[in-house]
Amino acid sequence: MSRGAVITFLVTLALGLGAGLYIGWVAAPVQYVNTAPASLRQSAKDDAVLMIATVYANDGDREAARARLAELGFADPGSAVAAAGLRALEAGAAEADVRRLAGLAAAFGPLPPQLQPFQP
Amino acid sequence: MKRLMAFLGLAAGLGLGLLYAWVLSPVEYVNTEPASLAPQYQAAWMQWAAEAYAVDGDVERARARVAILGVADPSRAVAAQAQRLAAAGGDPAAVQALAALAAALGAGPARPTAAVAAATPTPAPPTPTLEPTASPPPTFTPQLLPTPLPSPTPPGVFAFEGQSFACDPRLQPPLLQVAALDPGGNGVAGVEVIVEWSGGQDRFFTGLKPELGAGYGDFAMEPNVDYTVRLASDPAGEIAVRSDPCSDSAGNLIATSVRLTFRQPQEP
Repeated sequence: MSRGAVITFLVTLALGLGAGLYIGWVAAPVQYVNTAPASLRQSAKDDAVLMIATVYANDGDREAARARLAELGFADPGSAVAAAGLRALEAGAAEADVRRLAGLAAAFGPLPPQLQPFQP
Repeated sequence: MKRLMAFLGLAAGLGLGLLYAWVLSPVEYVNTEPASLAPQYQAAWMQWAAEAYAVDGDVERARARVAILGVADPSRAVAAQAQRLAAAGGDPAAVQALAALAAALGAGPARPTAAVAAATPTPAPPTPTLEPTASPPPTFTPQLLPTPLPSPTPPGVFAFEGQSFACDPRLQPPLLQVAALDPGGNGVAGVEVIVEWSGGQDRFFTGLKPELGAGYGDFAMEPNVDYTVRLASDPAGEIAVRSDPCSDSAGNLIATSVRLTFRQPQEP
């Protein structure tokens, strides 16, 4: 194989890769549609957990809350809600919100020490 | 030879790119935005936002939660979902929560209904008045005012206040309009109204047309059909309604629209 042919191959290989990346990143980038809640960014998940905790604080329906948390992809709802509560606490969230999260976390298991003062 | 190598190079480059993108490192959907959720999950998110609003009364937080779904008009989006849910025979409490949120987002803050508000700390910002603004305002002539209920009505229950009629060509087909008001005259969203006629039944909720007021709801009637209307919260409070023919100002024979007003009594 001639050296020219090898160079042509390498150049066109690079061009092919470049075209693929351009198409994938610029011309037709990935569109995230029809995703599931489990793929949400953490802050959106935390807000969803807070909504669920707020509703739970009102109706006390543990199984409904569990089903909703399962939609978020949480196999272990207690630790997931507790973690959301700890993040809320760390972020300086309103006490009422932390209480709601602590209340829901307590419905599924023991609370971390930081959240125990907020248990309703 | 060069052409063959160029073709092979391009093909190999694309092949490697696809191998990397589809096999070695396929796309993983992580850190996505709520706006990218599948429709059924967006509906669930909206429902959670509505139910959380019914508890915390924080309309701006609820607005942000709906807006993050990427909807152009949060109020209409929530109202549309409430209508879809109601049409599908969904849980009335869920519809009420959505209706209350739609009203709050669209016509200013509103109070959730008594059923929802029973456990509500209280969203209590100023509530909107009921007067429709987006459609031509019909002229209603009060007639046949009923006698007020003889005994005090329990809090949270509505008392039938009266009905009025409109012979308005802009309201064709004739409408059964319902206004649900709190003791101060402010509209109350999410009140379920049941309409029955010979061989049929339907229901609707106030607040699903936020542009017409939080406590407004309507139903298209057939002329000359006898209807029985009641609030779901008051099974015994049936009101007979009928759209009779009338002559409008131009002398044309049209069908009458009826407006029923319900009001929560003052708490003692």
